[in-house]
Amino acid sequence: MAERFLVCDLGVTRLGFPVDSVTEVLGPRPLARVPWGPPWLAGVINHRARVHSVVDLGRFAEIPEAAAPSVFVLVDRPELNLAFGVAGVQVVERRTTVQVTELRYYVPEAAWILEALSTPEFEFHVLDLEGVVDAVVERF
Amino acid sequence: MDLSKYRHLYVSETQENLERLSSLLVDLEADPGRKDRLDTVFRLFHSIKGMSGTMGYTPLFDLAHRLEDLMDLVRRGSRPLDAETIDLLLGGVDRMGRWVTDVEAERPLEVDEDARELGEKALATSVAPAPAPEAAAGPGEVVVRASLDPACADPGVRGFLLYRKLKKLGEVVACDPAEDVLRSGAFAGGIALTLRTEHPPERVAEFVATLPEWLEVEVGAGEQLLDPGDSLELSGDLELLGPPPRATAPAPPPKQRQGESPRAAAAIVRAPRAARTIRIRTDWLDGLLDRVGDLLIVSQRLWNLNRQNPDPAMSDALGELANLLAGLRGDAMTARMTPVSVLTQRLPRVVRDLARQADKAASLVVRGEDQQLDRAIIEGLDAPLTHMLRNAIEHGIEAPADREQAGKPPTGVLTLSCERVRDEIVVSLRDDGRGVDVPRMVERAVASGMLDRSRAEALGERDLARLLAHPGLSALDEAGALAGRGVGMDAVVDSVAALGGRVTMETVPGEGTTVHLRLPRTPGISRLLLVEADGQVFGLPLGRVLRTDVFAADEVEREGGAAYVLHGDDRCRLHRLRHLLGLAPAELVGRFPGVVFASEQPYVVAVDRVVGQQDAVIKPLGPLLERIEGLQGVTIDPVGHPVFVVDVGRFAVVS
Repeated sequence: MAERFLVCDLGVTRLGFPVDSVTEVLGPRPLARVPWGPPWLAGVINHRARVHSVVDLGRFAEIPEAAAPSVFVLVDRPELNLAFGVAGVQVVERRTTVQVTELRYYVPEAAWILEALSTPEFEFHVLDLEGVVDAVVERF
Repeated sequence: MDLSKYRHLYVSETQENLERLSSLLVDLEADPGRKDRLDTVFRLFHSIKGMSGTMGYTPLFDLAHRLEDLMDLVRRGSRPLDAETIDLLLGGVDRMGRWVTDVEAERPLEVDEDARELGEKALATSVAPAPAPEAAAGPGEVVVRASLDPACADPGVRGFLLYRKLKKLGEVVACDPAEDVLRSGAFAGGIALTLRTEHPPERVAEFVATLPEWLEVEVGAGEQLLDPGDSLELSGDLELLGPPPRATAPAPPPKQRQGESPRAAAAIVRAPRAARTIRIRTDWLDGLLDRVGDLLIVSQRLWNLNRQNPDPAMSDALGELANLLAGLRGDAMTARMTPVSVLTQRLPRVVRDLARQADKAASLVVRGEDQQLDRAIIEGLDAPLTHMLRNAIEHGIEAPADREQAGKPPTGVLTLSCERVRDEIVVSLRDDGRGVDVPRMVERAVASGMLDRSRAEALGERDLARLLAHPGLSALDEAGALAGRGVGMDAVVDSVAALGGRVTMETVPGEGTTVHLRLPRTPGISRLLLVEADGQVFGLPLGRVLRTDVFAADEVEREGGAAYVLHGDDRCRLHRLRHLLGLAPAELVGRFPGVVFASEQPYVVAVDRVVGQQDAVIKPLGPLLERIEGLQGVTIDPVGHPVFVVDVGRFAVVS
């Protein structure tokens, strides 16, 4: 069970990844749009001479009014060169959270959610990153 | 011992051996008396058998074993190498090739009905003659000294395998290097071993000589060493040796040189030669070239940054870096170079099979097979060359009777050549057949409505390859067994274009046709036309770009929902890059830039701005982006932004 989470701000919703499944978090940078790409593919970025496909996590998860991505979370699947675009991130320790049983805001794919946690400031859902990445690969 | 980690090595070596076998068997069919080739074919089957047995691939082992026995009869003169035998051997090679593909894909090796029938047929035709009387020899100790081929991969494994196999012949009483050293894989190339065995040295020598990777093998009782390569017949593996012959006289013990211990007498090893070549996985070489491409991109970015705030010391350092990178790139490219023979080796077999299917006679002459090409090009040429051979045999080469009537020898000749011409590699296939009936093809194109007459005639005169590459245009009235469905030349043109090359063609009625594939020497780097649309720069491969020009918005003609502009005498369909790429639309106003593309009907793509031309390192798209049709690759511009290379033709044709 993960002890630290990278919690991504998607506007009305927060989703967390286990920190171990993330390789890097990149700040704002220009995106190149991908012709004929799916609508949730925000574009591509160049990082250390590798071109990463950036999935707009808010649009992919169909979260209403999700904020536009400006931070890029590179996931630990090097063969895919995949990043998720989100509005902002912060690291949360499990020990500062409590489990909640009720999902308080919109989450489209319950199967992706491992658990719901709450800090004194906000609640977030922990994503099964492997499941989400598999869904991206499947829908690409 | 876990042998699965050697699967990759097994696959590549066996595939090479099977390709050599195909080529040699076709050569032998034309000239069955070549003893050296008979011996080589025998050895290759033997090698495949040995490696397959070691790896535990039983169906491969069994079939190779039977074909080896069959070849043994042939080379001893006990069986003729007739067409039936060649067919059987080639059928076996094909079957083994499919199994090797299964091994590579980690699929189980299935013995289907065809394989069973093939094996039974091979067994029925490979009944061995009665064994020759064994040479008299007695029990005792045999000394084996051998050096491994320095070009051989994984010497550690080979050393241990030889040790293990020899151990089955008797008791190893001394070995240098010692067994634990061999087992650890720390083995450089030379081995000396004393074996206590009931087999005479001749039989041990026969056995060692069946392992082709071992060179300079000496076997003998003490100092009486035999060289199995000179005088002994190769009769198989240990399992085939049968029980050791009864001794008629005790073998003399190994002689001891003055000042040497008994162990030392058996442990004279030649100094191992340093390996000059090694086998490297091709995906590693691809990765190396990728990294070098990345370095070049970063270097370009540094140049760009330095241009903004010039610093003389930085400029010097960047100049030095550029030189080093150019050298590194040259080395990486050289490491990927592969002789054309890798590609052409299997083609005589292809020609043989295709000619048989078409009831024609054809032979292939290959020139320039020592030329070195990048392996990406070698791999990319495999399919188009097969198409070209198929077209040449079906459309070009006449039936033997027709050839004789035309004063030609009954066997058609296909000549495949490869040469370097300036910055290009030109691969040409010439046939001495009937040539292409160009007027007839023009009529066919016009009658089918594919092209208007003026366009078809112009292509017939100036660009025959493009005329014949028109999808669906066939040279035959009826689709034949091999070709005639109009899917040949267009596939060739597409495959060559994907390699960054182009196809040209010449034909002389009654004398034959030559197809030239003109390919870049440096794949991975392409010259791009950079254009802008909706604020983003895109790269267009220059291969099909005729020119850029400026057009007037008020001269655009509209007809049935399509737009047209005049370019010279051609009325060209006008496309918008924004539309083709699914970007935000914008009205054409005033004068606008456009790119004129070559096609059966040239077309123009309007862009927002022509940025310029650039040599760019094209990076592969990766497993996700490559699913998007129309994207050819991606490069990084000097400021670090990704730039997609797009194939607008694919969309312009259908839109």
